Amino acid sequence: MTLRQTYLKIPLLLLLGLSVLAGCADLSAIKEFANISSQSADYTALVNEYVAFPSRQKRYMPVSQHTHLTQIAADREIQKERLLLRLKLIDEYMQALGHLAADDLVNYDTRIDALGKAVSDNKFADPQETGAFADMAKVLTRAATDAWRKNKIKELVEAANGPLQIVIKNLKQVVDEGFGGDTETEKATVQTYYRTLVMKSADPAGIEAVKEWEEVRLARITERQNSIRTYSQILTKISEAHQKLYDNRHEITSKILLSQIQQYAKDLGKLYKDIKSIL
Amino acid sequence: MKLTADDAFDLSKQFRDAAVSLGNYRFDNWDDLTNAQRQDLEDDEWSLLNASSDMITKAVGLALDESELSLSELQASTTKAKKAIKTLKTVGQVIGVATALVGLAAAIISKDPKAVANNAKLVYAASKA
Repeated sequence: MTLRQTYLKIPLLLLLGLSVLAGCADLSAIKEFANISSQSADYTALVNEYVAFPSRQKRYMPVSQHTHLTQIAADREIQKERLLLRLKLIDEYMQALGHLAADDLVNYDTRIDALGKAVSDNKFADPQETGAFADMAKVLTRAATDAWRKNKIKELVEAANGPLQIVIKNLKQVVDEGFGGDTETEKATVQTYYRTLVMKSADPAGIEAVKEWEEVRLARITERQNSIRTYSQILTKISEAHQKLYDNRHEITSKILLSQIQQYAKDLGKLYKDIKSIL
Repeated sequence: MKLTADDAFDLSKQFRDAAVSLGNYRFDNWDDLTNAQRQDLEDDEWSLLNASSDMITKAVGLALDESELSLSELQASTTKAKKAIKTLKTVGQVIGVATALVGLAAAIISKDPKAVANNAKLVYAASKA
């Protein structure tokens, strides 16, 4: 071994040792949580139901009420974009968090190998030297970008948690009391409509048929209530998990934290599957 | 006093409950009411149900207003995060450009115009990757 090769080996071994001690952060749990949050938050079906609600009500209400319902529909149409923007922004934020937590973004090994090969092929250095330089470059790049990335995640979670919690809290109120309130109103409307028909009718067969229709309509509303409850749970889980990230932002690679986040990702995955199967 | 989203949601519930109570009264006393009384009560029920929907729409609007500032802050954080991702991608791009530059340097040293032109194209392509 030449003296130059020996000089090369010493820092290389030191760096390899450091990298083993530090370990490359495995943030796949955060990536997983962010990805499933991004998918499940951007669930627009309920917003569409909210906007279509006044038109559904027209089916049961007398014509004298239709102008009022048309006005409500117009107001909701204006709100639609604002509601969708909230879903989209949570989706985009989670996507960004997921990208930052993804390992492939800080893995430049292939590119560095290509650089080493180019140096060697063009006779700027011998293959042994370039191999050693490439190994050093990989460790250094990984260590630097990984530390930088962890810091960026910390900064992001720190800055975004406050506004994210408020946006989710407001959205949850809209979902629970707004979308949920609509289903209660629709239920009352259906019951008023069909019970009035029943009371006015003297035909037993007709009454039975009307009651069946009422059941069908009410079952549809119950389905919608289930999807509203599920979506509300999704928002709660996203909020709780992000709060945990914020509370532990100085130890973002802690095993306990990552295992909790992984559990949130699993729960969210299940809720997302549930909501997809409802509507 | 300014109406909040909480107040508006609460009012919408009260209108709905009133409509349901009125309906129950109408059905429970069906035989004791005249046709005109039944119709009046039914009309009031529909009006109350629509007042409830109207109040929900107002409440949603107020809730959206209340989170507007936070929405802008979240948007700013997301934009920052996207810049960070771009930076990490740029590191990879820079290494790619360096690789192509090595080839270009070798071509210049060898004084081969064709190789210089080819490698210059590669450098350009790497910088655009």
